[in-house]
Amino acid sequence: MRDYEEHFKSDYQGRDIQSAYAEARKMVDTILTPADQTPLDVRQDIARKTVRNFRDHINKGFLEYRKSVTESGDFAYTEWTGQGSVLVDALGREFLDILGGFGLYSYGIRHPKIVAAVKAQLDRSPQYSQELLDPLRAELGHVLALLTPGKIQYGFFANSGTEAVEGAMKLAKLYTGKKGFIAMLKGFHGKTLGSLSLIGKKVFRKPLLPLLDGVQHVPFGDADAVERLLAAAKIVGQDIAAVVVEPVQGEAGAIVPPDDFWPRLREVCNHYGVLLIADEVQTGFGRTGKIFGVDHWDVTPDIMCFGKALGGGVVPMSAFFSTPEIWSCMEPNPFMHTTTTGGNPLACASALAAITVLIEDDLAGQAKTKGEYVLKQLGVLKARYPGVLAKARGLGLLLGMEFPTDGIGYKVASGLFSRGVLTAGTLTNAKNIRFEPALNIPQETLDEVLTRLEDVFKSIDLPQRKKVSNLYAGRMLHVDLSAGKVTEEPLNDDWVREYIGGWGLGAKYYTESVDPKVAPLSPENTIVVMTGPMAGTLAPTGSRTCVVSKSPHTGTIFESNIGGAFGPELKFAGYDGIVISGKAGQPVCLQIEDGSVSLEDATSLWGMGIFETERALEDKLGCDMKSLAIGPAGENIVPFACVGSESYRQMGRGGVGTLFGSKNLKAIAVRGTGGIQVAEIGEFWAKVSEHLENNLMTIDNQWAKEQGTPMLVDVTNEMGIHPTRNFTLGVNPNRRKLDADAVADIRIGDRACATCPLGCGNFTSVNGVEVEGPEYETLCLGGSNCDINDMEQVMRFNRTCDDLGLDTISTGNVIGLAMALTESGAADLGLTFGDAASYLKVLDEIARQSTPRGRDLAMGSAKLADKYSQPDQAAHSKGLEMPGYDPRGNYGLGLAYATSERGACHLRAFPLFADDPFNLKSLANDVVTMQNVNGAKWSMCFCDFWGSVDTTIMADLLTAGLGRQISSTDLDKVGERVWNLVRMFNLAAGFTAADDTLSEKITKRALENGPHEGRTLSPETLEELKGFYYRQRGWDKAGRPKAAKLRELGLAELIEPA
Amino acid sequence: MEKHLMAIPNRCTGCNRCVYACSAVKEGMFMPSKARIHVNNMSHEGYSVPSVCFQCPKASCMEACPTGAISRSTRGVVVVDAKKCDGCGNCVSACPYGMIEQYASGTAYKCDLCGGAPACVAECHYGALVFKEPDKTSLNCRKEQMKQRSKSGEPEEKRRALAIEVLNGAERVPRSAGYMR
Repeated sequence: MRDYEEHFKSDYQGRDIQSAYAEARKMVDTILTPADQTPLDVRQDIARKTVRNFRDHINKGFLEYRKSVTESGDFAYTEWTGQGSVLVDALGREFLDILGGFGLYSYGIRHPKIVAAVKAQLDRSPQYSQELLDPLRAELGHVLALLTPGKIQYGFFANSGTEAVEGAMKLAKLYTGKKGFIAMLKGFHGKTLGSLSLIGKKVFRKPLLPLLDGVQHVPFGDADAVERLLAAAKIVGQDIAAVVVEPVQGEAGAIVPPDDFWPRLREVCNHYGVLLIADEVQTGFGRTGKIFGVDHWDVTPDIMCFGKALGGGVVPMSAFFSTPEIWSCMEPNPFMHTTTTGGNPLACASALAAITVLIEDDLAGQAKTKGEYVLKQLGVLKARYPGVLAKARGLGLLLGMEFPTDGIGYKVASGLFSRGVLTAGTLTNAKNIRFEPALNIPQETLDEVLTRLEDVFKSIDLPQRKKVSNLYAGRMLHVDLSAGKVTEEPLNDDWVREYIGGWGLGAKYYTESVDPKVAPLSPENTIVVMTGPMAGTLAPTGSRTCVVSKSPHTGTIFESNIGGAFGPELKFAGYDGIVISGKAGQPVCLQIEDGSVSLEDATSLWGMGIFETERALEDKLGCDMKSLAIGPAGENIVPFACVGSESYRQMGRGGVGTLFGSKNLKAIAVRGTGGIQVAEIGEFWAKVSEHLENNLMTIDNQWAKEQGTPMLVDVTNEMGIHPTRNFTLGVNPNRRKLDADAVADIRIGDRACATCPLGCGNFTSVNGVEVEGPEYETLCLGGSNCDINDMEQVMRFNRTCDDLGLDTISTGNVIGLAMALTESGAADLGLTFGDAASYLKVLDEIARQSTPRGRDLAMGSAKLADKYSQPDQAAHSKGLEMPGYDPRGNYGLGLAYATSERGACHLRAFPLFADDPFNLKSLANDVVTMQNVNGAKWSMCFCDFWGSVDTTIMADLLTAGLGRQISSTDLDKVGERVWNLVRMFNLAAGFTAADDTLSEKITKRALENGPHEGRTLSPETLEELKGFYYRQRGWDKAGRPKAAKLRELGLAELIEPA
Repeated sequence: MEKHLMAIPNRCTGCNRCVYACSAVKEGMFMPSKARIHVNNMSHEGYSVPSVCFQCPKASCMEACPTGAISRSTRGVVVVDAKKCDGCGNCVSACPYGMIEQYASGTAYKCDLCGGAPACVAECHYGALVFKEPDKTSLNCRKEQMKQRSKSGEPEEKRRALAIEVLNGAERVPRSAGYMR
C-alpha cells in the first residue's frame, strides 16, 4: 500500500480560523467554476487533498478498503461529476456505473427532469418555515398513497433510509403497545441504534450490544421459522410488535425469497396480530422490476419504508408509510415524531419529479427486461469461465454475483474498476458483489459492461492448486473449441458429493453448462467426458468413462459410456473429466500429455477410419496413449455415429461421434503418468479383494468370464424375445450359428478392460477376419435382425462398423428395417434379408452419406420408416433404435425403454429375468429400483456385468478409497437424484409424458413366432405401466417430478414456479 | 533352484491388474507408469504381452552400474541399493528388456519379486503370470523369451519392440490350450 503520510503531507495544525475561511473560500470558488473549466492542476490538487482529508478528517480506515485508493495510481479516483450511468472523476477518468450508489441512482446520475425540478424549487424555497403548511410534502403524501398497494395512505418523511426504519419501529411499538421485533438473518436496515438492532450481521451489532431488547432473528425466506417464533413468543408472553423484512435482501447479495414466503408472512402476521414491515428502501421504485418489491407477491404490508431512490438520486429523502388504522395512534400527539429537515421542499420536488420519470419511462418494466437479460448473460459467463462466478441471482436490476471466495470476488471488482466499471466489493467483502445499475441504463452501456466483465473473467488466474484428493484427480479440463482455448479448474467438491462421478457428475456439469433448449449440433452444445472415482484403481470393472450431452439422434439429454482404459489414462494425466464447448474452425485433436494440453491440427486424420486414426495417434504419442476417436460416420454427422477406443470399444448409443464431428473434433488422445491416491492403500486393497472374491468372481457373474455376452443369444431365444428379421420374429431358427458356442469356436484370446478380472471380450478370428467380438447386440441386430446367420459376415459387419464409427445396434436396426421395406415393396433400397454382400456394402454408404440409400439409412430407423410411410416397421423409443430384447415378450423392458432418458436402452433398467414379465405393477417397481441402482452404478462407472454389485459394496469401496464415510443410502439417493435431474432437463427441453412411448412396431404389430406369438405391448398397457411408474417415482401424472420429491433429493432449485 | 516369474502372453487379456498392483505395493498409490511390471497392449491385434524382469543370470544392469548399487541377493534377485545409486542411468541403457527405470531424481528402480511373493501374480486372474520352481518347459519358454534383446531406445520402446516380436511368433490358440501356451 501507498505511504500516505509521505505522499499527502498533512498541514493541519489544530484550530486556525483564518485558514478555515481560506480553505472554504477556495473550495467554493472551485464549485462555482464550471466543472469543465477547472484547470488540471486544481483538479489534481483536489484529488491529492481529498485523500489527505479522508485520512485526517473523515476516516483513514476507508483508504485501506476503497478501490478508488487501493487501485489508483498517483491520484486517487475522486468524485467529480457524472450523467446517467457514466461517472467522471476529478481527472476526467470515466466509469460505467453498475454500483448505482447501492440503489440510490435508479434514475441515473443527475436525471435532467429531476435536476430541473429541484433547481426550480431551489429558486423558489429550499426549506420550509416549520410553521406554515408545506404544499409539496402534503402532495407527495397524496401521490405516494396513490402509488402504494392496499390501504397504505399516511406517511412521514425523513432524510435517510435508517430514519425511515427507526420511524417504522416507533410506529409499530406505539400502535401495538408491544416491544419486540423479528428480523431476518443477513438482513440490512441501517446503522442507527434502532435499525442496527434489526441488522442480521454480527460484525455491525456485536461491538455495540446490548441493543434494543426483544429483537430476534430467523433465516430469510423461512416463514415457518417466523411462525414458530411467534407461536413460542405468544406462549411465553414475549410480545412482538412487528416482523421487519426486506422484500429481496440487498446487502446480503440480492437474495430472492421463495415464492410463498411473503404470502405466508402476511398470513402468519395476521394470525398472531403482529405488524408486517416491508423495508423497501432498496427495493422500492422499480428496482426489482415492479414498483415495489412486495408487488411480486401481491402482499400489502402494514408499514412500508422508503429511501434511496425515493429522492430521485438528487436530494436525499426517506419515508415510512402506513394505513389510516395504524396511523391513528400518531394523531392524538402529532409531535410524537418530527424532524426539521425531513420532507423539505427540495427533496419533495426531487421525489415528485422522480415519480413522473418512473412512470413515464416505465422504469420497472425496464428493470425487469434488463434484469432478465443480465442474469442470462451472467449464466453464459458462468458456464464459459468455470470457477470464477459461483452464482448469479436477483430480481429486476437488484442483482448479485456470488464468487467462490472473497479473493476471486475482489479480483473481479478491481478488474472491473481498472476497466472503468464501478462496482461494490472491497478487499474484505467481495464474495457477493451487487450489480445494481440505473434502471434506465442504456442497452449499449449494459453490453459494454458485460463485455468488460467477460474480459475480467478471462484475465483471472484461478488458483491451480492440485488438491490432494483421494480417488479423484481433482481437476476438470475445459476446452473451448471456438476460441481454441483450454483452461482447468478444481473439481467441484459439492457436486462430487451429490453426484459422485460418471453419469451423475457428468449430467451435473452438463446441465450447468447449457440451456435445455440448446440444439445438439450447435457450437453452444457442450460435451462432458467424465470418469468415475474407481477409474485408475484396482476396484474391478470400475474404469468406464461416460459422455453426457444432448443427443443429436433423440434430442434428449443422454449418457453413453465406454470401457477400456481411456478413463484411467485421463485420470493419470491429472483430469477427472473434460467439458468441451464451441466448434473448431478446422479438424482438431485434443491432445493431453499429463498437464500439457493442446489442440492439434487433425486435418490429415479427417476421413480416416478409427483404426488408422488410432495408429497415427500412437505414432505421435507412443503406444501407451489412449484415445476417443471418430470415423467417417461422425465426420459426416450420421446421427448414430459412435466414438471408438482401442479399436473395438465404443460409446455406441445416441450419437457421441456425431457430436464430436459437429465440433470438428476428430479425437481426444491422452497419455498420463501420474497416479491415483486412496486414503490407505492396504485397507482399500483389502476391501477390493474382499468384494472381488466374495461377490464379483461368483456364479452370478461368471458367464462374463466364461462366455461373454454371446450367452444371451440362447437366453433371449429361449424367452422368445430375440429380435429377428426386423423385429418380426422373437426366435431365430438359425441361432446356433450365432450363439456362444459358435463364438467360442473361433476365439483366439480373451480381452479385458482396465483392471477387470472378468475379461468378457472374445477376440475372434476366422478366414483372416479378426475382431474383438461380436458382442450379443451385434450378433442380434447385425445378425438375426438382418437374417445374416453367418458368423464371418457378422464379424465383418462388426469390424467395419467399429472402423467407420457406426453404432452396431442402430445400424443393425436400420439395415433390418431397410430390408423389410425393400421386401415389402415399400421402398427399393437394394437390401434383402440374408444378403450379406449388400449388407456389408451399405455400411460405407451410410457412414459417408455417399449414396441416396446411404443417406436414407443414415436418418435412422424412425425417420426412414416415416419417409416410406411405414412407421409401424421401425422399432425405437424417442427415435433411438431398440437393442436386442423385444419388449413384447417382457413388458418391463418396454417400460424401461419408454422411460429411459435417452430412448430405447437396455442399460437403464434390465428386468429381463423378472419372475413374471407381464405383471405390470411389480415390473414398474422393478424398473424404478433398477434405474436408481444403475443411476448410482453408472455414476461410480462400474460395468453392467458386475451384476451383483449393490450400493452397499459401492459405498464400502468409496468409503475405503476416500477415507470418509459414504453410506449405501447416500448412493441410493445419488441414483434417484440423477434420474430426476435428467428428467427435469428433458422436460425443460420440451419433452413430455407423451414421449415416454414405444414405436408402433411394438404397440401395434404382433410378434410372429415363438412363445409370444401374437403379442403386442398395447398403448393402454404401456399407459398403465407408466401410471404405476410415475407414482412410484413421486412424479405427477404428467410425468413431472413433484416439488416434494425434488426437495427430498436436494434439487429444490429445479422446482418450477407454480 | 529359486522360483522364477514368467509371463504367458497367450493368456494375458491386457487388464493391467498386475501393473496397478505393483505400483500400489511399490509406490503406495495406483501409478502404472512407475510399476516394475508392464503390459504391452496391442488392442487392435487383440493381444497383450506382459514385460517382466528375468532377473538375468548375467545381468546387464548390474554389470553397467559404476557404483555397485546393483547386486544379486542370496535368492538370485537383482536388487538396487538406492543409497548407492548415483542416478547415472547406465543400467537403464544397458537392460535389453527395458525393465529397469529411473525416478525423476535419477534413482533406479526395478522388480525385486516382492521378497518372494510377487503381488502381480496374486492379482492375475487369467493365469498369465506364474511364479514357480523352474521345470524343463518353463526354462525353455524363458530361454525363448530372453532371446530377443533390444539394445536401443527408451525402456518403453524396448518393451514394445520385444512384445511385437512375441506377437509375431505367437501361436494363438483358444484358451483351452495346455501349460505355458
